[in-house]
Amino acid sequence: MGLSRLEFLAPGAVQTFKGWRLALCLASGLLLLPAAVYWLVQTQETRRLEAQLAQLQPARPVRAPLSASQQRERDLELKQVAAAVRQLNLPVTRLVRTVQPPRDVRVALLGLDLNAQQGQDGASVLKIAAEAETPQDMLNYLAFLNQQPMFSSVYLLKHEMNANAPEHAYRFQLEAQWRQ
Amino acid sequence: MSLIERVTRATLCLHLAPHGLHGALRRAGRPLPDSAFHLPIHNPDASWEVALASLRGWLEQDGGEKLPLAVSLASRWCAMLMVPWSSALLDRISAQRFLHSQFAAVYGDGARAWHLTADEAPYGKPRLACGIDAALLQGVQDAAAAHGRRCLSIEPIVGPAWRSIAAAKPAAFALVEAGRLLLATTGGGRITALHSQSCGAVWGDELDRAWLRWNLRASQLDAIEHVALLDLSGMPQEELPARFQPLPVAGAAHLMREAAWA
Repeated sequence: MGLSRLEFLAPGAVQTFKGWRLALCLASGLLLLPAAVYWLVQTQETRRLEAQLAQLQPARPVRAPLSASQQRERDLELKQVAAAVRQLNLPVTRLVRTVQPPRDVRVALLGLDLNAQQGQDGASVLKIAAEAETPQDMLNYLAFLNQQPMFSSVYLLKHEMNANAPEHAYRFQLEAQWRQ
Repeated sequence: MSLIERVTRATLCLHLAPHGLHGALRRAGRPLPDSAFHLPIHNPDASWEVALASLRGWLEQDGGEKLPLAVSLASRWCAMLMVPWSSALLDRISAQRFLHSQFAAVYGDGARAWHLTADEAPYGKPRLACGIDAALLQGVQDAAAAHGRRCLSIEPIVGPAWRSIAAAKPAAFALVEAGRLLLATTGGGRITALHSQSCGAVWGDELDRAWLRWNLRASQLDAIEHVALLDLSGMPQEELPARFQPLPVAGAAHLMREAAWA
Protein backbone atom coordinates (compact mmCIF):
# COMPACT_ATOMS: atom_id res chain seq x y z
CA MET A 1 0.00 0.00 0.00
CA GLY A 2 1.34 3.45 -0.89
CA LEU A 3 1.98 6.19 1.58
CA SER A 4 -0.21 9.24 1.91
CA ARG A 5 0.57 11.88 -0.67
CA LEU A 6 -1.13 15.21 -1.17
CA GLU A 7 0.08 16.41 -4.54
CA PHE A 8 -1.27 19.62 -6.00
CA LEU A 9 0.23 19.08 -9.41
CA ALA A 10 -1.78 16.72 -11.61
CA PRO A 11 0.48 14.17 -13.23
CA GLY A 12 -0.24 15.20 -16.80
CA ALA A 13 0.90 13.29 -19.82
CA VAL A 14 3.22 16.11 -20.86
CA GLN A 15 4.97 16.00 -17.53
CA THR A 16 5.10 12.22 -17.45
CA PHE A 17 6.62 11.87 -20.89
CA LYS A 18 9.42 14.33 -20.62
CA GLY A 19 13.11 14.00 -20.16
CA TRP A 20 14.47 10.55 -19.49
CA ARG A 21 11.00 8.99 -19.57
CA LEU A 22 10.47 10.19 -23.11
CA ALA A 23 13.97 9.02 -24.07
CA LEU A 24 13.28 5.62 -22.52
CA CYS A 25 10.00 5.31 -24.43
CA LEU A 26 11.67 6.26 -27.70
CA ALA A 27 14.55 3.86 -27.09
CA SER A 28 12.09 1.05 -26.31
CA GLY A 29 10.15 1.84 -29.47
CA LEU A 30 13.32 1.78 -31.56
CA LEU A 31 14.32 -1.54 -30.02
CA LEU A 32 10.93 -3.04 -30.80
CA LEU A 33 10.81 -1.66 -34.34
CA PRO A 34 12.94 -4.43 -35.99
CA ALA A 35 10.84 -7.05 -34.23
CA ALA A 36 7.65 -5.43 -35.53
CA VAL A 37 9.02 -5.25 -39.10
CA TYR A 38 10.15 -8.88 -38.90
CA TRP A 39 6.73 -9.89 -37.62
CA LEU A 40 4.99 -8.06 -40.47
CA VAL A 41 7.25 -9.72 -43.07
CA GLN A 42 6.63 -13.14 -41.54
CA THR A 43 2.89 -12.57 -41.51
CA GLN A 44 2.84 -11.58 -45.16
CA GLU A 45 4.99 -14.57 -46.12
CA THR A 46 2.69 -16.89 -44.19
CA ARG A 47 -0.35 -15.47 -45.96
CA ARG A 48 1.32 -15.84 -49.36
CA LEU A 49 2.23 -19.48 -48.68
CA GLU A 50 -1.27 -20.23 -47.43
CA ALA A 51 -2.72 -18.76 -50.63
CA GLN A 52 -0.37 -20.92 -52.72
CA LEU A 53 -1.31 -23.97 -50.73
CA ALA A 54 -4.99 -23.26 -51.28
CA GLN A 55 -4.42 -22.99 -55.04
CA LEU A 56 -2.54 -26.28 -55.14
CA GLN A 57 -5.29 -28.20 -53.40
CA PRO A 58 -7.25 -30.39 -55.95
CA ALA A 59 -10.63 -28.92 -56.63
CA ARG A 60 -13.38 -31.16 -55.35
CA PRO A 61 -15.86 -31.93 -58.13
CA VAL A 62 -19.26 -30.68 -57.38
CA ARG A 63 -21.87 -33.25 -58.25
CA ALA A 64 -25.32 -32.26 -59.23
CA PRO A 65 -27.97 -33.80 -56.98
CA LEU A 66 -29.67 -36.80 -58.56
CA SER A 67 -33.38 -36.93 -59.29
CA ALA A 68 -35.55 -39.48 -57.46
CA SER A 69 -35.67 -41.92 -60.38
CA GLN A 70 -31.93 -41.63 -60.95
CA GLN A 71 -31.34 -42.21 -57.28
CA ARG A 72 -33.49 -45.40 -57.40
CA GLU A 73 -31.53 -46.62 -60.42
CA ARG A 74 -28.30 -45.86 -58.61
CA ASP A 75 -29.46 -47.82 -55.55
CA LEU A 76 -30.45 -50.75 -57.74
CA GLU A 77 -27.06 -50.75 -59.41
CA LEU A 78 -25.38 -50.63 -56.08
CA LYS A 79 -27.39 -53.63 -54.88
CA GLN A 80 -26.50 -55.60 -58.01
CA VAL A 81 -22.87 -54.72 -57.67
CA ALA A 82 -22.96 -55.74 -54.02
CA ALA A 83 -24.58 -59.09 -54.92
CA ALA A 84 -21.97 -59.73 -57.62
CA VAL A 85 -19.19 -58.91 -55.24
CA ARG A 86 -20.70 -61.23 -52.66
CA GLN A 87 -20.86 -64.03 -55.22
CA LEU A 88 -17.28 -63.47 -56.24
CA ASN A 89 -16.21 -63.55 -52.65
CA LEU A 90 -17.97 -66.85 -51.81
CA PRO A 91 -15.57 -69.39 -50.28
CA VAL A 92 -16.71 -72.11 -52.67
CA THR A 93 -13.67 -74.33 -52.29
CA ARG A 94 -13.92 -74.25 -48.53
CA LEU A 95 -17.64 -75.02 -48.60
CA VAL A 96 -17.22 -77.94 -50.99
CA ARG A 97 -14.42 -79.32 -48.84
CA THR A 98 -16.53 -78.95 -45.73
CA VAL A 99 -19.61 -80.71 -47.11
CA GLN A 100 -17.57 -83.70 -48.35
CA PRO A 101 -18.88 -86.65 -46.31
CA PRO A 102 -16.36 -88.80 -44.49
CA ARG A 103 -15.72 -92.31 -45.74
CA ASP A 104 -17.85 -94.05 -43.15
CA VAL A 105 -20.90 -92.01 -44.13
CA ARG A 106 -22.07 -93.34 -47.41
CA VAL A 107 -23.74 -90.30 -48.96
CA ALA A 108 -23.49 -89.05 -52.51
CA LEU A 109 -23.75 -85.32 -53.09
CA LEU A 110 -26.09 -84.47 -55.90
CA GLY A 111 -26.04 -80.70 -55.85
CA LEU A 112 -25.15 -77.48 -54.01
CA ASP A 113 -27.16 -74.31 -54.25
CA LEU A 114 -25.17 -71.25 -53.18
CA ASN A 115 -27.67 -68.70 -54.43
CA ALA A 116 -30.19 -69.14 -51.67
CA GLN A 117 -31.41 -66.00 -49.85
CA GLN A 118 -29.59 -64.83 -46.77
CA GLY A 119 -31.05 -65.65 -43.41
CA GLN A 120 -32.56 -63.06 -41.07
CA ASP A 121 -29.43 -62.76 -38.99
CA GLY A 122 -27.29 -62.09 -42.05
CA ALA A 123 -25.98 -65.66 -42.33
CA SER A 124 -25.70 -67.16 -45.83
CA VAL A 125 -27.70 -70.25 -46.73
CA LEU A 126 -26.41 -73.30 -48.53
CA LYS A 127 -28.81 -75.90 -49.91
CA ILE A 128 -27.45 -79.39 -50.30
CA ALA A 129 -29.08 -82.21 -52.33
CA ALA A 130 -27.74 -85.69 -51.56
CA GLU A 131 -28.58 -89.35 -51.71
CA ALA A 132 -27.96 -92.08 -49.14
CA GLU A 133 -28.49 -95.80 -49.14
CA THR A 134 -30.10 -95.92 -45.70
CA PRO A 135 -31.91 -93.44 -43.47
CA GLN A 136 -29.13 -93.94 -40.94
CA ASP A 137 -26.56 -92.66 -43.43
CA MET A 138 -28.75 -89.62 -44.05
CA LEU A 139 -28.98 -88.84 -40.33
CA ASN A 140 -25.25 -89.47 -39.85
CA TYR A 141 -24.50 -86.99 -42.59
CA LEU A 142 -26.83 -84.45 -40.99
CA ALA A 143 -25.04 -84.91 -37.66
CA PHE A 144 -21.66 -84.62 -39.39
CA LEU A 145 -22.58 -81.30 -40.95
CA ASN A 146 -23.91 -80.00 -37.66
CA GLN A 147 -20.52 -80.64 -36.12
CA GLN A 148 -18.72 -78.45 -38.66
CA PRO A 149 -17.78 -75.07 -37.20
CA MET A 150 -18.46 -73.34 -40.50
CA PHE A 151 -22.19 -74.09 -40.20
CA SER A 152 -24.29 -72.48 -37.52
CA SER A 153 -27.34 -74.70 -38.09
CA VAL A 154 -28.17 -77.53 -40.46
CA TYR A 155 -31.63 -79.00 -40.87
CA LEU A 156 -33.41 -81.42 -43.14
CA LEU A 157 -35.77 -79.80 -45.62
CA LYS A 158 -37.26 -82.89 -47.18
CA HIS A 159 -36.43 -86.51 -47.91
CA GLU A 160 -37.93 -89.17 -50.14
CA MET A 161 -37.32 -92.73 -51.17
CA ASN A 162 -36.49 -93.18 -54.83
CA ALA A 163 -38.68 -96.10 -55.75
CA ASN A 164 -37.23 -96.25 -59.25
CA ALA A 165 -33.74 -96.91 -58.01
CA PRO A 166 -32.81 -100.56 -57.60
CA GLU A 167 -31.86 -100.22 -53.95
CA HIS A 168 -34.54 -97.69 -53.06
CA ALA A 169 -32.04 -94.98 -52.14
CA TYR A 170 -33.01 -91.99 -49.97
CA ARG A 171 -32.86 -88.56 -51.58
CA PHE A 172 -32.90 -85.66 -49.29
CA GLN A 173 -32.29 -81.85 -49.12
CA LEU A 174 -30.51 -80.03 -46.33
CA GLU A 175 -30.25 -76.36 -45.60
CA ALA A 176 -27.14 -75.15 -43.85
CA GLN A 177 -26.54 -71.62 -42.56
CA TRP A 178 -22.90 -70.64 -42.70
CA ARG A 179 -20.65 -67.77 -41.86
CA GLN A 180 -17.31 -66.82 -43.21
CA MET B 1 30.47 9.94 -8.49
CA SER B 2 28.45 6.78 -9.08
CA LEU B 3 26.75 5.96 -12.37
CA ILE B 4 23.28 6.62 -10.99
CA GLU B 5 24.41 10.02 -9.80
CA ARG B 6 25.76 10.77 -13.25
CA VAL B 7 22.53 9.91 -15.03
CA THR B 8 20.09 11.46 -12.53
CA ARG B 9 19.65 15.16 -12.25
CA ALA B 10 19.60 16.80 -8.88
CA THR B 11 16.38 18.25 -7.53
CA LEU B 12 16.13 21.49 -5.66
CA CYS B 13 13.85 20.88 -2.67
CA LEU B 14 12.31 24.05 -1.32
CA HIS B 15 10.17 24.55 1.74
CA LEU B 16 8.24 27.78 1.74
CA ALA B 17 7.21 28.93 5.21
CA PRO B 18 5.91 32.29 6.49
CA HIS B 19 9.24 33.22 8.02
CA GLY B 20 11.76 31.50 5.88
CA LEU B 21 12.64 29.73 2.68
CA HIS B 22 14.52 26.48 3.27
CA GLY B 23 16.26 24.61 0.53
CA ALA B 24 18.48 21.63 -0.16
CA LEU B 25 19.73 19.78 -3.20
CA ARG B 26 18.98 16.10 -3.57
CA ARG B 27 20.27 13.63 -6.08
CA ALA B 28 19.09 10.04 -6.22
CA GLY B 29 17.10 10.59 -3.05
CA ARG B 30 20.04 11.80 -0.99
CA PRO B 31 20.83 15.34 0.09
CA LEU B 32 24.00 16.77 -1.37
CA PRO B 33 26.45 17.84 1.34
CA ASP B 34 26.65 21.54 2.06
CA SER B 35 23.76 22.30 -0.27
CA ALA B 36 21.25 23.33 2.41
CA PHE B 37 20.40 27.00 2.77
CA HIS B 38 17.96 29.10 4.70
CA LEU B 39 16.60 32.49 3.67
CA PRO B 40 14.80 34.34 6.47
CA ILE B 41 11.68 36.23 5.47
CA HIS B 42 10.44 39.25 7.37
CA ASN B 43 6.74 38.56 7.34
CA PRO B 44 4.94 39.68 10.51
CA ASP B 45 1.52 38.83 9.09
CA ALA B 46 2.68 35.43 7.86
CA SER B 47 1.02 36.10 4.50
CA TRP B 48 1.84 33.86 1.60
CA GLU B 49 2.15 36.84 -0.77
CA VAL B 50 5.27 38.04 1.04
CA ALA B 51 6.74 34.56 1.15
CA LEU B 52 6.00 34.05 -2.52
CA ALA B 53 7.70 37.33 -3.35
CA SER B 54 10.76 36.13 -1.45
CA LEU B 55 10.71 32.90 -3.43
CA ARG B 56 10.54 34.87 -6.69
CA GLY B 57 13.41 37.02 -5.55
CA TRP B 58 15.54 34.05 -4.61
CA LEU B 59 14.86 32.29 -7.91
CA GLU B 60 15.82 35.45 -9.74
CA GLN B 61 19.08 35.78 -7.88
CA ASP B 62 20.01 32.12 -8.13
CA GLY B 63 22.24 31.97 -11.16
CA GLY B 64 23.06 28.28 -10.92
CA GLU B 65 21.83 25.39 -12.98
CA LYS B 66 18.07 25.45 -13.68
CA LEU B 67 17.29 22.36 -11.62
CA PRO B 68 13.71 21.10 -11.26
CA LEU B 69 11.88 22.11 -8.12
CA ALA B 70 10.05 20.13 -5.47
CA VAL B 71 8.18 22.55 -3.25
CA SER B 72 6.59 21.95 0.11
CA LEU B 73 4.34 24.50 1.76
CA ALA B 74 3.95 25.35 5.40
CA SER B 75 0.89 24.01 7.19
CA ARG B 76 -0.23 27.54 7.96
CA TRP B 77 -1.42 28.00 4.39
CA CYS B 78 -2.80 24.49 4.05
CA ALA B 79 -6.27 23.66 5.30
CA MET B 80 -6.54 19.97 6.10
CA LEU B 81 -9.65 17.86 6.37
CA MET B 82 -10.58 14.19 6.50
CA VAL B 83 -13.38 13.77 3.99
CA PRO B 84 -15.73 10.80 4.01
CA TRP B 85 -15.72 8.37 1.13
CA SER B 86 -17.88 9.20 -1.85
CA SER B 87 -18.14 7.72 -5.30
CA ALA B 88 -17.73 11.28 -6.58
CA LEU B 89 -14.04 10.94 -5.67
CA LEU B 90 -13.56 8.47 -8.50
CA ASP B 91 -13.76 11.18 -11.16
CA ARG B 92 -11.38 14.15 -11.14
CA ILE B 93 -13.95 16.83 -11.91
CA SER B 94 -16.67 15.51 -9.62
CA ALA B 95 -14.02 14.96 -6.92
CA GLN B 96 -13.17 18.69 -7.02
CA ARG B 97 -16.86 19.57 -6.63
CA PHE B 98 -17.26 17.12 -3.77
CA LEU B 99 -14.13 18.40 -2.01
CA HIS B 100 -15.24 22.00 -2.43
CA SER B 101 -18.59 21.21 -0.83
CA GLN B 102 -16.87 19.46 2.07
CA PHE B 103 -14.38 22.28 2.64
CA ALA B 104 -17.07 24.96 2.28
CA ALA B 105 -19.06 23.24 5.04
CA VAL B 106 -16.09 23.52 7.43
CA TYR B 107 -14.14 26.59 6.27
CA GLY B 108 -16.92 28.66 4.72
CA ASP B 109 -17.46 29.95 1.23
CA GLY B 110 -13.90 31.26 1.07
CA ALA B 111 -12.88 27.68 0.39
CA ARG B 112 -14.54 27.91 -3.04
CA ALA B 113 -11.44 29.76 -4.24
CA TRP B 114 -9.04 27.12 -2.98
CA HIS B 115 -7.33 24.46 -4.93
CA LEU B 116 -8.04 21.11 -3.31
CA THR B 117 -6.39 17.75 -3.50
CA ALA B 118 -6.99 14.45 -1.75
CA ASP B 119 -4.94 11.45 -0.82
CA GLU B 120 -5.39 8.31 -2.96
CA ALA B 121 -6.85 6.27 -0.12
CA PRO B 122 -8.30 2.81 -0.85
CA TYR B 123 -11.87 2.48 -2.13
CA GLY B 124 -14.43 3.19 0.55
CA LYS B 125 -11.98 4.70 3.05
CA PRO B 126 -12.02 8.33 4.25
CA ARG B 127 -9.44 10.49 2.55
CA LEU B 128 -7.08 13.14 3.77
CA ALA B 129 -7.70 16.31 1.77
CA CYS B 130 -5.84 19.58 1.64
CA GLY B 131 -6.70 22.96 0.27
CA ILE B 132 -4.57 26.00 -0.50
CA ASP B 133 -5.34 29.33 -2.04
CA ALA B 134 -5.42 28.76 -5.78
CA ALA B 135 -3.46 32.00 -6.25
CA LEU B 136 -0.63 30.66 -4.09
CA LEU B 137 -0.40 27.47 -6.14
CA GLN B 138 -0.49 29.41 -9.39
CA GLY B 139 2.08 31.87 -8.01
CA VAL B 140 4.56 29.10 -7.19
CA GLN B 141 4.10 27.53 -10.62
CA ASP B 142 4.45 30.87 -12.38
CA ALA B 143 7.55 31.75 -10.39
CA ALA B 144 9.17 28.47 -11.36
CA ALA B 145 8.16 28.80 -15.00
CA ALA B 146 9.35 32.40 -15.17
CA HIS B 147 12.86 31.25 -14.35
CA GLY B 148 12.85 28.22 -16.62
CA ARG B 149 12.41 25.67 -13.89
CA ARG B 150 10.16 22.67 -13.89
CA CYS B 151 7.97 21.92 -10.87
CA LEU B 152 8.07 18.23 -10.00
CA SER B 153 5.75 18.52 -7.03
CA ILE B 154 3.98 20.99 -4.80
CA GLU B 155 2.58 19.57 -1.60
CA PRO B 156 1.93 20.45 2.04
CA ILE B 157 4.84 19.70 4.37
CA VAL B 158 2.83 17.07 6.22
CA GLY B 159 3.23 14.74 3.22
CA PRO B 160 7.04 14.67 3.14
CA ALA B 161 7.09 14.70 6.95
CA TRP B 162 4.97 11.55 7.14
CA ARG B 163 6.84 9.75 4.38
CA SER B 164 10.18 10.51 6.05
CA ILE B 165 9.16 8.64 9.21
CA ALA B 166 6.71 6.10 7.79
CA ALA B 167 9.31 3.31 7.73
CA ALA B 168 9.32 3.28 11.55
CA LYS B 169 5.50 2.86 11.50
CA PRO B 170 4.60 5.22 14.33
CA ALA B 171 0.96 5.06 15.40
CA ALA B 172 0.85 8.85 15.58
CA PHE B 173 3.12 11.78 14.91
CA ALA B 174 3.24 15.47 15.66
CA LEU B 175 4.63 18.08 13.32
CA VAL B 176 5.50 21.41 14.85
CA GLU B 177 6.26 24.44 12.69
CA ALA B 178 6.68 28.04 13.72
CA GLY B 179 3.20 29.08 14.83
CA ARG B 180 1.54 25.82 13.86
CA LEU B 181 1.27 22.32 15.26
CA LEU B 182 -0.27 19.31 13.66
CA LEU B 183 -1.19 15.93 15.15
CA ALA B 184 -1.94 12.88 13.04
CA THR B 185 -2.66 9.19 13.51
CA THR B 186 -1.61 6.68 10.93
CA GLY B 187 -2.48 3.20 9.81
CA GLY B 188 -1.67 1.07 6.78
CA GLY B 189 0.79 3.62 5.52
CA ARG B 190 -1.77 6.40 5.50
CA ILE B 191 -2.76 9.31 7.65
CA THR B 192 -6.08 8.27 9.16
CA ALA B 193 -6.94 11.28 11.36
CA LEU B 194 -5.55 14.75 11.71
CA HIS B 195 -5.75 17.74 14.02
CA SER B 196 -4.18 21.11 13.28
CA GLN B 197 -4.04 24.30 15.32
CA SER B 198 -1.93 27.40 15.81
CA CYS B 199 0.62 27.58 18.62
CA GLY B 200 2.95 30.03 20.25
CA ALA B 201 6.68 30.06 20.80
CA VAL B 202 6.40 27.85 23.90
CA TRP B 203 4.61 25.07 22.19
CA GLY B 204 5.55 22.17 24.49
CA ASP B 205 2.60 22.59 26.84
CA GLU B 206 0.27 23.46 23.99
CA LEU B 207 1.23 20.28 22.20
CA ASP B 208 0.36 18.14 25.21
CA ARG B 209 -2.91 19.97 25.79
CA ALA B 210 -3.81 19.66 22.11
CA TRP B 211 -3.20 15.93 22.29
CA LEU B 212 -5.36 15.59 25.43
CA ARG B 213 -8.18 17.64 23.92
CA TRP B 214 -8.04 15.61 20.72
CA ASN B 215 -8.07 12.51 22.91
CA LEU B 216 -11.36 13.59 24.42
CA ARG B 217 -12.94 13.81 20.96
CA ALA B 218 -11.33 10.67 19.56
CA SER B 219 -11.23 7.93 22.18
CA GLN B 220 -9.16 5.61 19.98
CA LEU B 221 -6.12 7.73 20.80
CA ASP B 222 -6.07 6.19 24.30
CA ALA B 223 -4.25 3.15 22.95
CA ILE B 224 -1.39 5.24 21.53
CA GLU B 225 1.51 5.46 23.97
CA HIS B 226 4.14 7.21 21.90
CA VAL B 227 3.88 10.03 19.42
CA ALA B 228 6.78 10.71 17.05
CA LEU B 229 7.67 14.39 17.07
CA LEU B 230 9.09 16.33 14.13
CA ASP B 231 10.19 19.78 15.23
CA LEU B 232 10.55 22.30 12.40
CA SER B 233 9.78 25.29 14.60
CA GLY B 234 13.32 26.31 15.22
CA MET B 235 12.34 26.78 18.87
CA PRO B 236 13.26 23.54 20.64
CA GLN B 237 11.49 22.84 23.91
CA GLU B 238 13.44 21.56 26.85
CA GLU B 239 10.89 19.53 28.74
CA LEU B 240 8.42 17.64 26.72
CA PRO B 241 5.99 15.02 28.00
CA ALA B 242 7.37 11.51 27.69
CA ARG B 243 4.62 10.65 25.23
CA PHE B 244 6.31 12.72 22.54
CA GLN B 245 9.52 11.27 21.17
CA PRO B 246 11.51 13.79 19.12
CA LEU B 247 13.09 12.63 15.90
CA PRO B 248 16.19 14.32 14.49
CA VAL B 249 15.41 16.57 11.54
CA ALA B 250 18.04 18.65 9.77
CA GLY B 251 15.47 20.91 8.13
CA ALA B 252 12.16 21.01 6.37
CA ALA B 253 13.72 20.66 2.94
CA HIS B 254 15.51 17.52 4.08
CA LEU B 255 12.19 15.81 4.68
CA MET B 256 11.49 15.73 0.96
CA ARG B 257 13.30 12.48 0.45
CA GLU B 258 11.13 11.22 -2.36
CA ALA B 259 11.00 14.42 -4.28
CA ALA B 260 14.06 13.50 -6.31
CA TRP B 261 12.14 10.56 -7.74
CA ALA B 262 8.93 12.42 -8.51
